[in-house]
Amino acid sequence: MSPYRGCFLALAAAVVLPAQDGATSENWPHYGGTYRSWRYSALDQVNGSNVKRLIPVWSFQTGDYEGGLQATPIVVDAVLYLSTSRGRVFAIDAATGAELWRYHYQLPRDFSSFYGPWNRGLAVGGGRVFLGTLDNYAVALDQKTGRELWRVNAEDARQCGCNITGAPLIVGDKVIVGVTGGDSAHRGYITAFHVATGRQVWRFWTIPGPGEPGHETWQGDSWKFGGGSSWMTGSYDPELKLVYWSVGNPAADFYGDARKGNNLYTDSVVALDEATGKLRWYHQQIPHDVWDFDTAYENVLLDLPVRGRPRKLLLNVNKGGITFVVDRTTGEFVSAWPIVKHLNWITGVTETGQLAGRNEPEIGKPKLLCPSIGGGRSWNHGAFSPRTGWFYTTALEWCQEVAAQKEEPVEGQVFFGGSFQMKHPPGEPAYSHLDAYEPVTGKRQWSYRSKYPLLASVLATAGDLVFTGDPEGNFFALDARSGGKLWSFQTGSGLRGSPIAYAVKGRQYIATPSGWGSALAGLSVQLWPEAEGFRPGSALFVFALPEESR
Amino acid sequence: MIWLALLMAQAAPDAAVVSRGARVFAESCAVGYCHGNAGAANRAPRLAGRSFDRDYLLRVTRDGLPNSGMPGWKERLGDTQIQAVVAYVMTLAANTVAAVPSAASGELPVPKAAVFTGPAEARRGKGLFFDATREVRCATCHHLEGWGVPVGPNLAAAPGASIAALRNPATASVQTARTGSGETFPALLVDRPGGGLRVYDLHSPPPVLRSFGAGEATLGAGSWKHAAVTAGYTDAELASVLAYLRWLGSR
Repeated sequence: MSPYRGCFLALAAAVVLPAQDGATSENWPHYGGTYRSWRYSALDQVNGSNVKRLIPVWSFQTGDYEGGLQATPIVVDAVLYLSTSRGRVFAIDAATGAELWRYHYQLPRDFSSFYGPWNRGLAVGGGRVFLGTLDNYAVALDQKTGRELWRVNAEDARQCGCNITGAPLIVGDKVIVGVTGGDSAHRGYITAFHVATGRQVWRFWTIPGPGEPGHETWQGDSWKFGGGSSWMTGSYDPELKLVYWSVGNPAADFYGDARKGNNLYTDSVVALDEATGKLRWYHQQIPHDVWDFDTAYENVLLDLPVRGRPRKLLLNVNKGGITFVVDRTTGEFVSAWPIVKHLNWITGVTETGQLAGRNEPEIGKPKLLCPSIGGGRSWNHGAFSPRTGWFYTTALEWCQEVAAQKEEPVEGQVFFGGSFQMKHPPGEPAYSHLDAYEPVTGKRQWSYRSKYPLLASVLATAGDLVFTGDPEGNFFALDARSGGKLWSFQTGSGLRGSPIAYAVKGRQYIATPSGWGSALAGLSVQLWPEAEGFRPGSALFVFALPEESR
Repeated sequence: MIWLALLMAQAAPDAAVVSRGARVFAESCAVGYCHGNAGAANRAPRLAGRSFDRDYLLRVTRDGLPNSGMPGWKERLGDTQIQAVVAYVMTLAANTVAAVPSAASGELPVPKAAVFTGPAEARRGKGLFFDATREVRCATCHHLEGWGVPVGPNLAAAPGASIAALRNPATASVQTARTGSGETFPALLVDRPGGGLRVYDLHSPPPVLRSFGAGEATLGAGSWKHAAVTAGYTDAELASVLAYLRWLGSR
């Protein structure tokens, strides 16, 4: 960190800068970069003055392109670990692209799942590489050889209609795993397994059972099949010893009459004691969700002043296009702000964090609602730069005509309660944008516009660059302070994964998955018919400055 | 010109059947992230504007498509409904997106779940065997009728003589594994790939499939008791489970 200190001190006179412990450097150790999920690298060898000279130095073809390449690579000590849609894992020399080992998870021959096939990444720690599988297993591999050490089933995928597509999170001697299933007749959970043995340490049910607080927020037996998936990856605060995880929508998605009540802890951020999995606090963003607007995405941990007082904060963008900021010690509401222009499912959020003016789907009667079920943003993640103090996130301006329908649950089967048709927003064609925001107030600093939906994660670096990509295959860098485009490279397939930065022997690399696919890639076709022709792929592209110019 | 007549018959299916199929489609196939209204594409592939073989559609609709997100519908829809929905999907070949109903009627019939034909107690037993509200249930380690994890024996083949036998059967196949680091745990041998060892670790549910290289672990005599994992079931509940197993075994 020392090369950057001087620069921070110089700036400190003018701006209060946040702590740096959310930054990565040589390694990219966790899914979100660090436990704080900033997706920010302190490396500044590549910066605004030289980014135009970035060249591809190696690429890696996985051969597994169904569903695209949606992972975040992990880098530890010059080895890059990459997972693919159907459970292939590769260890790759991070400087040369040479394959060191590979592991191929064998799915049952007749396996089928409503979710996937895709995989968003791995966890690496304790000498092991951890993978979640489409048939709902957590798997531990030897970090040196790729040999399987253990596998454990979270729940039979055929019974629960759920699986694991998110990256696990390692906290101490535990590996914590979420599951999909928010659109199935299923009851969600978050599970911690022992890193060494695979034995279950704890399980947190995202829907409280009989006798537990919150159970009364479910009508009748609806709690048994109420969804509440945990399909993305959590964050962790080592000081507070709290694991933060987002819980998705209740099922049936659009039909809520059979689950009257607030439906805890769906659409909530939950803070769990890392040792026991016990709930310390929760913050529910959307009581009784009937829009499928998961609170499913990343939890960005920020230490920032609010009205002059330093606060430990948690920022979470939801699928409804609203960013919620809460105190991560207590769960107390701090602020909320929208990331999209076209938003009509509520009229706003009150000073105390309550939703105002709910506009709900109706049974059998199509209604135009914005944003669409695809989200004001998809799961692809935002980034925070401590140098600018801004949060960078993509956003989607698209709507849908939705009609609810009464539906009875059948265990493990799709439980949606309605259908929808994608629509352009009133008065203009659907589009997408990437914006920089002051994270507490939501004051927009700049905006970059894209014709097609931006569905790749954002990477911010100390070179004051912001990287992301588009469905046409362009991977590009923007000026973190102005949003101006500085560099772009055509990777040959659309971007749906998460770029990272790392360094080997003093050379900085920027790596991005390239490979179009996913549910929203399919959904996009309803608005942009030509998107059906966007080629799938599954490759990692790695860029650096030419050796001679460093 | 018989072939032409046949072709025309196929091209102009009964309007009432197609209309029924359109409704089934709106209620079952267009939902959520699936095929989209009128097959407009979504997470599942576009159906509008494409040509399909009718028998292929019937087969896929009834049985599902392995290695995909397409489930079989034969347990949720009657054959008349499946025939109707296929007739409707055939009409989408002409890309008639604008001409078909764009939303469900809002009166979805209660889905026809797999019909359980056994006696009431066996039905109760089946519910208990797969009870997802219990963290530890029979299906955590036993596989029946397409659900559950096949770690322990097939219980329908040998249902056990009594509740006591179900609660605490002979478990001679469970040994004790000892690892190089001195750790011991109850272990069920799976295989010995390349001189190594793959065992289920039965220390606590759910079982963990652990792999050891040559010389990393050894197996010895064990003394594991099944009773610990059935403690969550009462005798009355196990009686129902037994009734379910016997009913399955008798079929």
